[in-house]
Amino acid sequence: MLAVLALLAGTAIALLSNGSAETVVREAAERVAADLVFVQADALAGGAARTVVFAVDEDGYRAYATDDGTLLTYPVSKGPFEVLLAQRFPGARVDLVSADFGGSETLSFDARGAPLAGGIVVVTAGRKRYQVAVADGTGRITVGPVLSPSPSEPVVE
Amino acid sequence: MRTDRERARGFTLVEVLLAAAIAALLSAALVHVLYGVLDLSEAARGADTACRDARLAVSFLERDVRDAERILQIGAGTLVLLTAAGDTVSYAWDPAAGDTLRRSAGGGPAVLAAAVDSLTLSLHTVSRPYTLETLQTILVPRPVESFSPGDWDQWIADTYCDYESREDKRVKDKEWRAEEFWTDEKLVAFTRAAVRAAAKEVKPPPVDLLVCIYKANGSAPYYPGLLVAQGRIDRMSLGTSYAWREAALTMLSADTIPAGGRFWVVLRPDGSGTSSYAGHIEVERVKNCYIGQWPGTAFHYRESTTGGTTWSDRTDQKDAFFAVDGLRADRKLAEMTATLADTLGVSYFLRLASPEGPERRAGFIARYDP
Repeated sequence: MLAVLALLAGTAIALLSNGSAETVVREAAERVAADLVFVQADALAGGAARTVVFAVDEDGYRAYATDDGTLLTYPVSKGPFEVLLAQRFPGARVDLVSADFGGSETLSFDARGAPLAGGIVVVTAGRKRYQVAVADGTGRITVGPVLSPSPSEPVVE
Repeated sequence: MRTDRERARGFTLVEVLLAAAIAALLSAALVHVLYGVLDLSEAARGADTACRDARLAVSFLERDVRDAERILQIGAGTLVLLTAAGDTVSYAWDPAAGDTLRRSAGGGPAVLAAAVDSLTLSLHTVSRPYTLETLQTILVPRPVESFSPGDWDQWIADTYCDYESREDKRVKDKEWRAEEFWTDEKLVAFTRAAVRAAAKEVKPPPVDLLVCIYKANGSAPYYPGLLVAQGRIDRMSLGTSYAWREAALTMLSADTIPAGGRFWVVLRPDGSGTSSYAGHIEVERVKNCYIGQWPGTAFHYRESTTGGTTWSDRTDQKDAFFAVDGLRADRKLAEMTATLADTLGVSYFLRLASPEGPERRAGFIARYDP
């Protein structure tokens, strides 16, 4: 009986753990997308270019006013626009795997809110990977799972 | 009270099964709640995506319409704009192609919004009457020159000249009559000539009376040179007494008719045989004028008996009764009224499907484009 219960419990924990990773990485991707939408809207509202610089090593990103290089203000905390995923999702091991915008880790929106180059940001939590895609031309931002890892991206276990 | 033996015995199978059943029920309830929360979360994400797409689409649409140089095409789900740089920006929503709204500007089409289930674009215009003023060239009929009975009366009364008579001058065979005149202003055509004519010899005359306008030769004695216009007085129209007979003139030369140009009205029969009588014309004659008192400074009467090959030198005391009209080109301010459609703007209605109900955006993008 105990063995059966242990087996059931183990299965349930594994399922819950897997589901939790999915939820966390999706939440992280949605957060990144929301931040990019904010920067895009800020460029449009202010009529000035904005830049988001991703730092894969730090698992984070910063948003600047392109003209003078000053950090934007984060809308929630009212502090500098510096986001570190490790701080935002403590204990969840959320990683920023890659950010590629035409070969650069920098995403720039012009004064009309259009990106200079579209691209993709990939985040992971456990074995789950989600991507934030910024469409070339329109800057439409979408979130979705990465169905298969690209050969150039290491799979974070 | 339970004894130590009873405590050591543990739970019965029924108790364990009962506990497991209760736990299963609680778990099922929790899972149900959890899935409900996940569904709500999913719906919220979908609604957020739709809201984001709608905002982005409207943002691009408003900006592109305002910045456009011209609206080239607008219709259901289609909009084509011409930018100031001469490029085109187009929007296309095709329900058959995944319900996506795509924007093309320079490169290929890029997705602007997904799950679009309605997009209506309408051009709003206002009709405006306007008046355009232009200078148009018009042709104004102008009398060129004329000499009528009575024109000399006052002059004769003021001088020593004596009025003598009116004379009949026959137009027949090679007997041609001519009156010289000058144009006061530049003309584009001679249109009408008239002479006082009658059928004095044979009624009706056997041939028509031709009224010809000649340009004078460029050197003395300036006799008729180039035939520039010609008309005809029907022989059947001539009566036995003198009356003004008119002839519509047809231009035969493209030469300009300058101001101050020297011309001749030549009256000749429509034929050159021995019985080509065309009628008589009436001329005025004065006599006993002192030198310098001759009134006919504006025209000179001439006669030919050789069919226009040679002309009399002087007949200064006679003038034929004649009139010539022409057309002068003039400029006239003309007003043209019409109605123009001025563009006031573009209205749009965009609806995106969303799990929490459709996301709608509607608005009017003003742009005055006369």
